[in-house]
Amino acid sequence: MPGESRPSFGIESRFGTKELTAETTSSSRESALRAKIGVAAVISQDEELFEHLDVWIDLLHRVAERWRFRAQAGRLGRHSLVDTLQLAETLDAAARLLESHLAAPAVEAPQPPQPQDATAAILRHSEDRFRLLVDSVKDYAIFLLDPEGRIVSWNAGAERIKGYRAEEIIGRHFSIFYPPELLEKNHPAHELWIASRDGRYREEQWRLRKDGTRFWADVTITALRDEQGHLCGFAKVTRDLTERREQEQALRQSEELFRLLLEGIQDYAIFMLDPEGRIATWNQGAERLKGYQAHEIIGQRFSVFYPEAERRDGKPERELAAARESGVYREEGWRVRKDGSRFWAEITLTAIHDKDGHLRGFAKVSRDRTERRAADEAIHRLNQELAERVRERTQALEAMSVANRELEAFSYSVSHDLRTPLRGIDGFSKLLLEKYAAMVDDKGRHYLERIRAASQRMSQLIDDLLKLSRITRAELRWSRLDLADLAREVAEELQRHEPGRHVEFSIVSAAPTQGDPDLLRVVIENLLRNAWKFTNKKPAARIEFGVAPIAIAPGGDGRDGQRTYFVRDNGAGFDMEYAGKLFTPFQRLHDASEFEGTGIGLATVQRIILRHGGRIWGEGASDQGATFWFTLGEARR
Amino acid sequence: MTSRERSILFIEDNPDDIELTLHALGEHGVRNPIVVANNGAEGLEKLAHMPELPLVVLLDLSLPKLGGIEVLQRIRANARTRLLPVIILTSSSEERDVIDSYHFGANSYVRKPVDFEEFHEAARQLCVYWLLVNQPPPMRPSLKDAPPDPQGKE
Repeated sequence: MPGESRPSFGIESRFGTKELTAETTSSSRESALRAKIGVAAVISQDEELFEHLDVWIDLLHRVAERWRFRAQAGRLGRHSLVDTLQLAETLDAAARLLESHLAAPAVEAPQPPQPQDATAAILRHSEDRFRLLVDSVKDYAIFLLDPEGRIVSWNAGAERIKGYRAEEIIGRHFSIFYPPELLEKNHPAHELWIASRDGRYREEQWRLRKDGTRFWADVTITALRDEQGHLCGFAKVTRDLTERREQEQALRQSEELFRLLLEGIQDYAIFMLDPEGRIATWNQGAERLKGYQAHEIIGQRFSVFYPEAERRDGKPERELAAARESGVYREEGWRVRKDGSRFWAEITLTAIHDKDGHLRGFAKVSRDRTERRAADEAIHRLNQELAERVRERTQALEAMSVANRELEAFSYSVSHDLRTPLRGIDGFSKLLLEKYAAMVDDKGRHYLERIRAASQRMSQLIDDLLKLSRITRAELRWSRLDLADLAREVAEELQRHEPGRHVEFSIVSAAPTQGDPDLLRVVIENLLRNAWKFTNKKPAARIEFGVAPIAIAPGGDGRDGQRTYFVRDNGAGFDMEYAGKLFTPFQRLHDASEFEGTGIGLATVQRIILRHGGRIWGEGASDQGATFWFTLGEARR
Repeated sequence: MTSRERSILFIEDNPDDIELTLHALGEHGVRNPIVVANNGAEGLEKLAHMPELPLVVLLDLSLPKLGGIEVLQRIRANARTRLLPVIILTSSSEERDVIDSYHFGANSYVRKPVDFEEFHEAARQLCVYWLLVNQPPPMRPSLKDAPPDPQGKE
C-alpha cells in the first residue's frame, strides 16, 4: 500500500476495498489511523497505535458490551443473535489480544511477530466485523487531537453529531466546537490541561454543530502518552445527549409542576408516607386541613392524625397493612387536627411500589367531609323528623277517625235518645190538656202549650243539628247539575206551600256546575227559604238567583276564575255589624218572635259550600234586603 | 181465633214511650192483648214462651242488652218466627238504621214523631193497617210450605 510504512501481513489486503482505498489514498493521517485501528492488534510495531492501546482496548470492550446489551435487549436490527454475540466475542478477543501486547515488553516489539494461525483467524473475523464496529459507533463522535488540540481523525459518529465531514475538519482546532461563553473562559485549553494532568477529563456541556446549533454533549477527553510519558495527543469521545437532556428536563419540569400542583392544592391534603408510615411530604391542603406546618410534621408517624382511642387500638397500622395488601385503602372517619379538633375525613391510602415491586411508601389523600357529613346528618335528621311527623299525623288521623266514630255514635245517640224524652214531655202535656182540661185553668193550659211548643222546638233543633252533622260526614257525590233548575224547583215548592204570598222570583236561565246534587239542593233550599221567610213582611217581595260577573262580584276575590252565584232579596236584611255571626250554628240575627228558625240553616249551607271547596259571604243592611254570594270549588275526580 | 184476639208483642225500654203508645193504641180501640218486654232479651224470651205467635211485633231499635237489630236477626233466624211481621218503631231516622232494619227483614219502619198528635196519627194508621188490613202469616207456619228464605242465611 502506498504511503504505508509498515509491511503488510496479508490482512491489509482486506482493506483493499474501494472505500478504504479511497480513504487511504487520501493519504491523510487520519485515514491511515482509521485503517490501522483494526490492524492494531497485530501491528504492535505501530508506535502510535501501540502508545494508545489502552484507549482502544477500552473502546473494544465497551463496544463488545454494547453489542451484548443489544443482543440481550433484543435490539438486533438486521443482525442475527448469533452474529451479534459472535461479534461481541470477537471484539473482546481483540481487546484481550491488545492487552497481551500491552503486557508484553515494548522492546521486544520491533520484530514483526509471526502470525499464528488462531490469531490470524480471529483477526480475519474481527476485520470482517470492523466496519460494523465503525458503523455502530455512529452514536459517538470519536476522534483524536494532537497535543495542541488540532483534530487528526474523524469518524462517522463525529460527522453525524457535529455535521462536519472529515476533510472539512481535520487539521482544525477543536475549540471550533465550543460556544462563545466557553471560549471566553478559555475552556478548551482548560479541558486539555486537566486531561493531560489527570489523564482524563469528563464533562457534560453545550457544544456547537457546524450549522451553529447547540447540542448537549457528554465529552470524555483522554490524554494519550507514549511509553516515555510524552503527551502525543488526546482521544475525544463525544455523545449527543440533547434529546436525553431535554427529556430529563421535561421530566424534571413535569415533576416540578406536579409537585407545585400538589403543594398548591388547598382542598385535599396530599402527602407521602414512607413504608413505615412516617410523613415524607406535605402540601398546602394538608397544612390547611390538619394545621401542621411541613417542618413540624415531616418525619412524624401519620398516626398522630387519629383520635387517641383509634391510635391505641392500632387502627392506623391496620390501614397501612390493608393498603399494602390490596393496594388501596379507603374510608371515612374522624381525624384530629393539630389543635385537637376533629374533622370527618374521607381518605384514600395508596401503596406505591417501585418497578421491582418493592414498597416505596404510601400516598395519602384526605379530604374534609365534615360539612357534607353534617349535611347528610341533617338530611337524615330531617327524614327522621318527617317520619316522626307522618307518624304523629297518622296517629292524629286515627284519633280523628276515632273522634269521628265517636261523633257518629253521639249523633246516633242524640237522634235516638234525646228525642224520646221530648216525646214524653209533649205527649203527657197533651194528655194533661185533653183529659184534665177541667182541672187546669187558662194560665195552666198556656203553660202546658208552652211546654209542648218548647219540646217541639227542641225536636226541630235536634233534627237540624243531625242534618248538619250528617252533611259534615256525608261523602260528596259529584255530578253535573244546574243550580238554576234547583232554584226554580224550590221556588215552586215555596209558592205551592204558601199560595197566599206574592213574591216575584227572578231566576237566571241556566247556572250549570258540578257538585253533589242533594247537598247543593239543601244550599239553594236554605237560601231561598231564608229569602222567602225574611221578605214575608214586604208587600212587593222580590227574590233573585243569578250568576255574578266576576268583575263586579262584591267581596269576591274572583280567584281561579270561579263563578260567583248569588241569592238576593229585598227583605228584612241584617246589620252588617253582625255579618260575622251569619254562619255560626245557633246564631240568629233576628228575634224568634219576628222570624222563626233554629240558626242552623246558614251554618249547614256554609258547610256544604266549604266541602265543595267554595266560599260564601253575605251582604245586607237592616230592612234593605240581603245578598248571599257563593262560589263552588273545582270539580274533583 | 180471630186476629182481634191475637196478641201484640211490644218491645220497648222507655216507660214514657210504653205508656204513650199503649194509650194511643187504646184510644184507637185496640183490644188485643199487648205483651210488653222492656229489653231485647226479654222480648225474645217472651216470644219463645208465647203458645201462639203474636199478630205483630213492635220493636224499638235502641234497647239495653240485646239491640233491636239483633232481636230482629234472631226472630228471622228462628224457623218458628221467621215470617212474623216486625215493625220497627223508633226515634231514629239514621239512614244506617233504616237500611239495617230492612236488610234484616223488617216489614215496616216507622219513626216516632215527637209531636204527640202526629204520634197518635201514626199509631192509628199502624193499627188499621197491621191489625185490620194486613193478612198475617199462619200461627204455626209449616216449614214445608214456606218459600226459600229470600235473605239467605245472613
